[in-house]
Amino acid sequence: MDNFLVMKDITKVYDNGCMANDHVNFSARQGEIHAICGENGAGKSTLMKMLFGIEQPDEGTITIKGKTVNLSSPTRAIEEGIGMVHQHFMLVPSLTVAENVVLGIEPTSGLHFDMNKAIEMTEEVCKKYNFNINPRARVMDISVGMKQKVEIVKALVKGCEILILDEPTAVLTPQETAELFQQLRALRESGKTIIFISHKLNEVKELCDRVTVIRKGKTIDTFDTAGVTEADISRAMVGVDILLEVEKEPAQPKENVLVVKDLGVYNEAGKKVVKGVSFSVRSGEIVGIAGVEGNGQRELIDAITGLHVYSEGSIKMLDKEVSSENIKGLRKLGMVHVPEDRMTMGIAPKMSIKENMIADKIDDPRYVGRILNKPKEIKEDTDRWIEEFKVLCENGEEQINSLSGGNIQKVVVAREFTSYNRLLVCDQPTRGIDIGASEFIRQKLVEMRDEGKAVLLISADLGEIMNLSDSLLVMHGGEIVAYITDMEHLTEDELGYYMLGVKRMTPEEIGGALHA
Amino acid sequence: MLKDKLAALNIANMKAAQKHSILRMAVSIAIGLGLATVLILFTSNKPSESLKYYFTAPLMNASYFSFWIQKAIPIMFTGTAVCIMFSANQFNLGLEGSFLFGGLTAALTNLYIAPNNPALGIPLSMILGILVGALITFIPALLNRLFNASIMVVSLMMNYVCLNFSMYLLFTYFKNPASSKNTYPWAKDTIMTLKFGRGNNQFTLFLSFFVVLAVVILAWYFLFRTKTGYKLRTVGVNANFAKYVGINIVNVAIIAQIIGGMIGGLGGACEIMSNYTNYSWVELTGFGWDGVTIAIFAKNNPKYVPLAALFLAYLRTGAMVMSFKTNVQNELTLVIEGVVILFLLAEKFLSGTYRKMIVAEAEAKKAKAAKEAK
Repeated sequence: MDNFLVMKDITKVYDNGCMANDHVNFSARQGEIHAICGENGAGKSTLMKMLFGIEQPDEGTITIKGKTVNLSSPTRAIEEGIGMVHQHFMLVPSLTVAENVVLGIEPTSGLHFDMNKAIEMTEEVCKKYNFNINPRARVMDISVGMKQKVEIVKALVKGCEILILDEPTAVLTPQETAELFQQLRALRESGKTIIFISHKLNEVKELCDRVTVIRKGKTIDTFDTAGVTEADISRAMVGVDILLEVEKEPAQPKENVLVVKDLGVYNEAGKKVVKGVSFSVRSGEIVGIAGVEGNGQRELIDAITGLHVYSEGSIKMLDKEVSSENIKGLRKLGMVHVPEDRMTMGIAPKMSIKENMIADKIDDPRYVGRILNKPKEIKEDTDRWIEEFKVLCENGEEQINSLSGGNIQKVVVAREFTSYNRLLVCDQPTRGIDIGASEFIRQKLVEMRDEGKAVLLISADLGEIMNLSDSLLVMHGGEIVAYITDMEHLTEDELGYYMLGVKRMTPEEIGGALHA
Repeated sequence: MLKDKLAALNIANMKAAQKHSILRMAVSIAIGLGLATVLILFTSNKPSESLKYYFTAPLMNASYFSFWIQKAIPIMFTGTAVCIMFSANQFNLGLEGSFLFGGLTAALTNLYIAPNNPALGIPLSMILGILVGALITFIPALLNRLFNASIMVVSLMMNYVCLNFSMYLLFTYFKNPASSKNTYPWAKDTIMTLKFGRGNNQFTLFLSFFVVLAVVILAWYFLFRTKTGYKLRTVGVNANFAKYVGINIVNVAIIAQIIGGMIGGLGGACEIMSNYTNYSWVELTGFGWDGVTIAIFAKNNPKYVPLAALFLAYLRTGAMVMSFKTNVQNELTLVIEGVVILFLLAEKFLSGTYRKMIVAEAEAKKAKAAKEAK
């Protein structure tokens, strides 16, 4: 059926006045995998939120099988046969797989929750669609790839016909991705319609039947993927040809800036999550950290940046022990930090762009006199940075949360990169932002390296981390399992084996990460 | 320059968010006043006269006018204090205590340290009031720092500790034995006022009005033009962010509360010296709570505090005059205040209109962009 799902003239304006969707048209057939591509902020997520009833369109109609539907809430959407797997999983960690799967449609016997029936329902769907999951396992004990399967099963149990997957591969290793694709193909065979949102064009090309490109809140076109190349899709996404790889000269590392030695970190639950980690970052090089999320990277970075205490080993920033400095002291030493979650840590949302840019420099005598601030100097410099970092805004007085994600990130990067710095800790610097802004930030990182800064880069984007890093650490289970210096001959597959913990280097090889 | 300012005030050029915020304020007030009108019409035996007093009394003669200003001053003090504490997201409600002790301190200063010497008594009372007020809001902040005790709960308790302690002091040491609850007088007439005319035409000039205006202006400069004020607002907007950029959030939170208490104590001192000749407070003044109301009206910006305080005081003066001229109860004004605040704080109130406004704005922006592209 050609018009299984039709979204017609959908318009959505957000409270901050941003027109996220401007008369978007989208349609999907039954039994196809349909990709939606677009830069971040293009409006893909907004469109899908409306399809799943999380947001309501200001204009336009949605029809399923020829019937106009009013998706006023996710509950309504589920009733209409729509399922969604969010980028951040919506699972209860302390419950079992089966309990999570039946959440919202719990089977009961008498007044009790019927656990056996729940397991039966889960197993039935798993068997039908060939998912290999243990319904009795607790969600907190299973891997990320497994959690995603649980999310899919959760949607299937509720009888979904249309399955939306929002960047499903972002958290997966290459091997897990391959397995996911197999399962999605099987679902397609059984007549399900799958909407696949992704930034990764090679995946779109490999998996999907058709692709709809959205740019700046408008539908650009829908193509058969067989007939187009990745370059064609990316051109449609950004409107111009773009360079996908940042060009850079080989690094010329000098002295150590950051030295981490035998570091051990415990998380809040008292579990040791970073175990015996040693490495150094030298001035003039980019050291990457790769790993599946939740393998200790978070705690490692928090320890380095002074946000989390560590009890074993040492972290030295220019020969000063990090634990004996407060954050202000670390910043004075020249450690700057682009945090992973820009909305909760990277900005003060209700303040202006200008105030956000100046936040870490407010004690600098250039910007404050003995009592009062110096508005002229603040304005001069922030205006210059807005221009230099290409922040798209009316002026520096604009409230920062009225900007798009990419521009907010540019403000964060501008603030950090314009402060006195010797070491840049960049945690997912381009996550969830558009190609243009990502490109710009990557270029800046290489520039900073060439100026002799030390850069520690953490990224879940394998393409990015393989392209930018001069050497690469891989973390698994809280340990460093590989130290890779030959970036040119590293394949995604090999990296995947290290990330999954299938392969690991010898302690001698890993020891090379700590330079004298 | 002036032209720019006028353009900035032009409603048509305003962003939807600002327009909506003004609209919501106006509609909330209109509903409150509308309700007041209805209530007066139903309960008054002389409705037209009651309405006249309710809406215009403060402007009828010099005496009522002075009364209006007198009512506005203490809530300007406490409103400004709350603006500063709330800007840092510190819900310290100890202002009642600060205000009360500011007043007591001023009374004792004028009675025992500088008797019959207002030239010394007034400034000294203010300074001591500031110190005592700061101490009272500092205690909850300190307990929070040391023992992680809830600031809100401790500060609320503090108010009653202050009240009972002040009553103990009053009844045990300072009461005039010939009276039930008053101290000896420190002067024949209030020492911080100048009075002109007589009867209904008596105009009172409150020196504390100038003090509070200075406080408002300084508070605005502090919040928006100094680095400490900037840090304070940053902590209020996003404490995680503040910590990450290297701001000492604990210190900033304590500073905000100390400054709040200082202003509260100063307010209490001014109140005593403007309106009393002896000390007789045996209950909390309520001005600390009013401060919260004013800060809500002013959206935590000291700039709007005088406006909000004058507005509230106007309604209260009108209600007061109405209640002694006609039979309508004074408490009516509390109902109105409650209704207005309810609508102001109801986030979803008029959100439908807001959606239409922002959709229209986005369409207009798009059309303008398209036009420019051509």
